[in-house]
Amino acid sequence: MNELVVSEEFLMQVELLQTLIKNCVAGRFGGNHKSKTFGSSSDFEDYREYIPGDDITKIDWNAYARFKNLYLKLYLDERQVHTRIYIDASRSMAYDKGRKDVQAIKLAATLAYLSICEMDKVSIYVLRNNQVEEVVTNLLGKESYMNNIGKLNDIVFDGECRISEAILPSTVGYGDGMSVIISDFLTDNDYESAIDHLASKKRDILCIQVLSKEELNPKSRGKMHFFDCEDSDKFYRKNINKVIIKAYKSALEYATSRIRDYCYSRGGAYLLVSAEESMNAIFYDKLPAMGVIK
Amino acid sequence: MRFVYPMGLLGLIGIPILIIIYIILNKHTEKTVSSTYLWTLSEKFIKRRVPISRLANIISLILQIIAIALISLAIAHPMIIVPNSASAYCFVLDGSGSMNVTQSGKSRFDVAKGRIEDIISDSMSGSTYTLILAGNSSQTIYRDISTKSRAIDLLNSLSCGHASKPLEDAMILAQRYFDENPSLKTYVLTDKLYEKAENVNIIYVYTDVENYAVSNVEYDFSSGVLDITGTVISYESDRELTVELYFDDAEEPYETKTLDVLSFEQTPFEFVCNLVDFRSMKLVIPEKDALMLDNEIIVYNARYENLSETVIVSENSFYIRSALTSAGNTQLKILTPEEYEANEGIYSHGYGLYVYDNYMPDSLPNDGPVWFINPQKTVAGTNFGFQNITVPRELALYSTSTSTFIRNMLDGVVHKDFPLAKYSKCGLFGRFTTLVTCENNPILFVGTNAYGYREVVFAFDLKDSAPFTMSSDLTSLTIRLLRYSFPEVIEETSFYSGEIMPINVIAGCNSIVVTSPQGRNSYLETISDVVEYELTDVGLYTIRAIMKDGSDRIFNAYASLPEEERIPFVQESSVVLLGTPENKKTNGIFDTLFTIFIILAVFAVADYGVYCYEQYQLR
Repeated sequence: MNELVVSEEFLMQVELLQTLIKNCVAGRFGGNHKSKTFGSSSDFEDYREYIPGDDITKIDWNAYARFKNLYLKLYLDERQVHTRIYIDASRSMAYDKGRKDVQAIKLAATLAYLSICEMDKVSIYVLRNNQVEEVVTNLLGKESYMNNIGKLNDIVFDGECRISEAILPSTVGYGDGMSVIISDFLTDNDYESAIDHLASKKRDILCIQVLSKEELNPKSRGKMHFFDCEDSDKFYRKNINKVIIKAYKSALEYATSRIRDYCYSRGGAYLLVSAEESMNAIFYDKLPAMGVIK
Repeated sequence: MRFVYPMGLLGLIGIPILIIIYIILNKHTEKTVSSTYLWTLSEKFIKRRVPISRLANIISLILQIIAIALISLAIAHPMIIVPNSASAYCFVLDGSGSMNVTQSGKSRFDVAKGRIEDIISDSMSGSTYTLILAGNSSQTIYRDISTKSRAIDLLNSLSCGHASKPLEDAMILAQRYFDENPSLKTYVLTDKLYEKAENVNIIYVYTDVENYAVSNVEYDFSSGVLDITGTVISYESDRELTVELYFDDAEEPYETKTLDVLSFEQTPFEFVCNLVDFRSMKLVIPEKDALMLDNEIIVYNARYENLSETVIVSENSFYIRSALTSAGNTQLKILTPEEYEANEGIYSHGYGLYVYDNYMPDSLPNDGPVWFINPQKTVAGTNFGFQNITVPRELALYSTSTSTFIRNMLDGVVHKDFPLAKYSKCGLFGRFTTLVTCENNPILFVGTNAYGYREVVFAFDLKDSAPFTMSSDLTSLTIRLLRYSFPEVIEETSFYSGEIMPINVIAGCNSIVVTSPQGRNSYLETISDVVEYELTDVGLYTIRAIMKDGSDRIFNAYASLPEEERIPFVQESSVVLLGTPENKKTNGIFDTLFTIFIILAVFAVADYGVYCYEQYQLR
């Protein structure tokens, strides 16, 4: 990866967007996201009677003058969230002309930028073999983003990826933001455990499945002998005809619906994007339509 | 089974070659993909197929083999021999004039051709076909040919004649073929009803149709007016018919008559016209019927057709001019000797007849007949010599010879001897026939000059021979002398199709071309005095006599449909082939396989195309 995959111009456009965190998360730091608890933000929420020990600066003296009782003004607390983005760095993401790797990095960089703009912390990891490898961690602020986002260009897409085996042992945080997994999910390996784990950690989950055009709508016909780029022992040998293509499309529908349904069942979100799809289409159309951003 | 083109089977060599290529090149295209997960998963979604569907893997090979095999077989043109199934057919097709009758937009002849075509098409391949056309002449169009398409093509190229030809001649040919092969199936296709038929299948192509005809047209000038007579007939029903008379090339009728015509009765008509001459007249029945060919008849004036301009060189041309005019020769150019001498180069050629009255030219015209009246000197080429002027003591006497020629020449002449004031005594060098003598000297003689043209000599002055010139003998003689001078190219102008038209080869004629109504030109031999031409079509024939000097003379004759062919329905006696028929058949050929193979080959190739389309999304 020799170039910054997301242009500055595009980043200026997506700056206008902000992530929408569906749940009010329990963060530890101030930020633009509203917490369920009351805190020190300027957003008024409610009154309650004074209890000894309360901060007397929060007493509404106007209310006391009127009702002769002490009431506290309650304000929503604002917490900083930590967005964690996991990129599948297996060889299948970079093979052939699909450029799923490019699309994955663009998505990661854009999502990271959106979080940075929301004053969130951002960490980006790659999933390779059974491990989570940090690329950039705890980015905060645009300067930090700009200084570090270039490291995404150094990601090498090679080997295999076992999502669950990599994420389960890693630190994923607890109830403090969104976890985004960007992968093609074309594997028999278990990824459901990873989603379950993130859900159990009260993380908002977004699974983005990136597929190439050829994978979405294969054009190969006739006698074909397909080898799997990650495992040469895996192959598929068939006369690709109308019947096979029909079955392939059914398999594709099954595979995408499987992960989509699993995400939904765990309160997460799922997005299928084509490797050739533009960022504009994804961030202006698809994600707002899903309510992930507004 | 046998093959018309066995070499076509060499194409089957392509099958093992194809299989070898298939084995050698039957490799799957290897390709590394990002993941085989979805492909492997797709196996679960493939519907269970019947075992035969496993052939789908080699369907392209199967289809290609089928295509090669079928195309090779198609090229080889397989045939199956079917023993004793083919017959020999002989068709006698009536091509007489009545077969031109139109029924439902098609002529009977075309209907008959269609029936023959049906029989040929339905017959077993390997059968043989013989076709005899009884048209203007009876002829065998083809004999024992076995190719259906060829037989049908030749049949369709035939056209109907216009003559009246009975089937007898054609049946003689059919009898000969029947004698050679008693198994011959003979069909006669005609519109005439035969009471008796033996060994013959008659296919009638007849329906009731209306037909009218005009015929028996004659004309006469004798009463001083043109009297035209003729008859009209309706062959189907009583009708009121109109007869229109046209002269020359007029577009409007000169006169119209309406007649109540009874069926099968000749109804006469007459036109009396105040005309002194005409070139052609046309009589037309304008009412539409099934056979329009006989609704019109054109009559050409033979005398007019043979007429040409006469130059008369005379100081006093009254008598000869009167005589020629009375004889119908009205195109006269009269010159004085002075005018002639001043322009001899102009007037000494280009005319049909040269008359020198009391004048002798220095040189003889070389392009036409010449008459001399009272010659007074000898001119080279005339074949006679002037000796002196003699005053007779006796009457001029008509020849009493019994020769046919002299009798014809003097036919209608009163033969009354007449006195002469004087005459020119002449010596004859060539072959002349003397018609009148005086004191044993020829004073009216006819012959041929040095250029081959007819020559007439009156060796006396007409104005000094009043008893003769004032009598009708002069006119009668002039008519015959004119006929003698102008051997008419055609003496008749009205014929029936199928008749022979005699054409006289006139002196100086280099060639004769006859153009038929269909525009066909026939060049006739001119070595004999008379040539004959068969009129096979109905309509106008143009006879063009090309003279040696390059000029030409054009004559017209009209052939109408024979009266017996105008009758839409004729009952004949019998049509019989003598002999005992047999029913031997020859081996037939079932070659429809060829078509089936072609269709299958196309189907296989198309199927393979569809397969390729599905497999490779060829667009």
